[in-house]
Amino acid sequence: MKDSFFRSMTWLHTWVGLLVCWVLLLVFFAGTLSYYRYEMTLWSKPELHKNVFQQYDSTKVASELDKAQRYLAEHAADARDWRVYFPTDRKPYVSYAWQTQPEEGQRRGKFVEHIAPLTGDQLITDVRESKGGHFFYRLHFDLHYLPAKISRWIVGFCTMFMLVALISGIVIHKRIFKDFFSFRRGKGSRSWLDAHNVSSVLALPYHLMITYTGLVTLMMMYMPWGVMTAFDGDAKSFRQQLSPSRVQVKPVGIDAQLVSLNTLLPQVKQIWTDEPIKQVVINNPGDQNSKINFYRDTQEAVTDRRTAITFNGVTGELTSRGIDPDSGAQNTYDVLIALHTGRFAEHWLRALFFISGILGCAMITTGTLLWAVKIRQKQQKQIKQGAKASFGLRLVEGLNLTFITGLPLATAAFFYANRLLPTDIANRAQWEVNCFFIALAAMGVLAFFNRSKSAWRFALALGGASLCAIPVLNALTSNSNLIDNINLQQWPLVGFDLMCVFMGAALFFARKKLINKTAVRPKKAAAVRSPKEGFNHASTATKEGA
Amino acid sequence: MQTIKTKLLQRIDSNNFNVGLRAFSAIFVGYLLAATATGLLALALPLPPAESTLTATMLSFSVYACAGIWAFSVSNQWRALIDPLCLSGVFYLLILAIG
Repeated sequence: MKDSFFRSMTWLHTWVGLLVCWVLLLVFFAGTLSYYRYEMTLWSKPELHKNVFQQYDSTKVASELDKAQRYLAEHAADARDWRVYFPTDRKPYVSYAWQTQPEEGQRRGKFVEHIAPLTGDQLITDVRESKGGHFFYRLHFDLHYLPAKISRWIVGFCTMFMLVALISGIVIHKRIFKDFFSFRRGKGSRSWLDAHNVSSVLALPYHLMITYTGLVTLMMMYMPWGVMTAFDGDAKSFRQQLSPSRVQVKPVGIDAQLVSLNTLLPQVKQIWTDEPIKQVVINNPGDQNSKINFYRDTQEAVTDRRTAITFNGVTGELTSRGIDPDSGAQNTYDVLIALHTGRFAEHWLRALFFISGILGCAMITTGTLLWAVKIRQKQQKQIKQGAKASFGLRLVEGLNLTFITGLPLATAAFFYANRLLPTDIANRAQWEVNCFFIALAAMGVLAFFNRSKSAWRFALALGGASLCAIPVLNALTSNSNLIDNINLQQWPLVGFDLMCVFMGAALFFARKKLINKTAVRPKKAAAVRSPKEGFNHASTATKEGA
Repeated sequence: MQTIKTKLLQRIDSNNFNVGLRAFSAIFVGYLLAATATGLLALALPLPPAESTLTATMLSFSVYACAGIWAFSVSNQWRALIDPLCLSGVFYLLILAIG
């Protein structure tokens, strides 16, 4: 397209990057936060912050299951399905849940969850309605306010652009090893380029992996043509061949007594020996066609397959041992999805994934800031002569300010809404989400009118302050503050508070970098018009927004 | 005085048209190429149908990305459009022949 392959790829890298970078920043930001979605959800439910957290105890499984069955039989007799959740590392509590029968025109009923406290018999039934960390998880592929299908196509489209941006970026980076160690400070767009290179290259395998596996996760929607061709469009038969143990069972309508769940435990133990049970799901309880499924905690296994040991609900007969067919293609597919979701990652690996995600956000951020600085430098002459900045430049600078400072601020707004919104308003969970987008939109309005450095400093200070104050918010709106949580060893809550402070501090640090040192001595700068001073003025002016 | 033909030729030779044509090819013809390649691999790979379908689908995004890169690196803008279009056609004919 241009004179050389290198120049074509440079052009391509810039444009595939720029056209979708703000959507990608949203996706990367939300996706990175999703690594800790269970911890965020725990924080968002202060009703559970005392006397709830516990670890899995295999000796208590039988009694818990018995208690659960009696409770569910009493409170959820005509539910569609029952669930008993046992403590896992990331969801450290016991709870009984059920799904009510769907109403007219609804596809699913309501999901109700009651949490069993550590001591005492009274279950916790009134937990505030909130999406918690799962909001960010859904946000990164379903976006929001749009139908899921459309959002996923948008995200898929942007992800393909990202993949091409990554490949072209690698191809044009001739001195990839030498450049790794170069960081030129205070040189405007060159410094941003160095930062862009470092954040991209440092986590390059991760970026390639997360982008490609993201596409693979939704590949049946994006590329159904394999199934269309090889199975004549019969997706059901395709899925059947992949997991023959998965059978949808519809209720018959004839009442039948559910077998006592405890009696099935010896068989489960025989197949799984000591592996912890994660949850027990009972489909169509009380019906002739009821099914009991035991799911295990796969812990650090790199798999996303949820294969259950299944029993007939009435007779207690074992119908499936939970073994999946084992082929190269299937295992590859499973591993690729598992790599993306990262469910297998324990604390240290999860932290590494999170840091890589942050580097991904840094990659996108430095890329778009690099472009804005470069364009402003190009137009500096015209702007100095009185011309207005071009529409493209104003748009890029506006979007940069909106998303780069807006996303952390909106996240803080979401968690403030979680604690401060009254617990009994209608659509409470949706209103927490609305607060996220209201904050983002507010930042957009600010960016529309003012894109100067002072606007950036204000936005970063606001974001930094609101994030740093999260532990205070927690202390005021929960019965367990940071010190209590440390004493009780409730680490997910401690981690969340501390991470918010850390992020807030990072925003303050970024703000500090934007404080113009020459602005401290305005009189001297105006008075002295030496050539040296003029040159300095020009170089600082390029870093200054207008 | 420019004839309509000269004006059209000018438009076609312009940079905007070049970029637009390549973008169209990368996005839409690239998808067509990936789709036909997926279908062909799903039939042609010597694996059970479910596995060959999985493999073909997982590989499709590499095909799509390569098509995108290619559309912007080939020197002639028309080749960027015609070549992947013809290749997709060949794949499709092969699909009809096999399946």
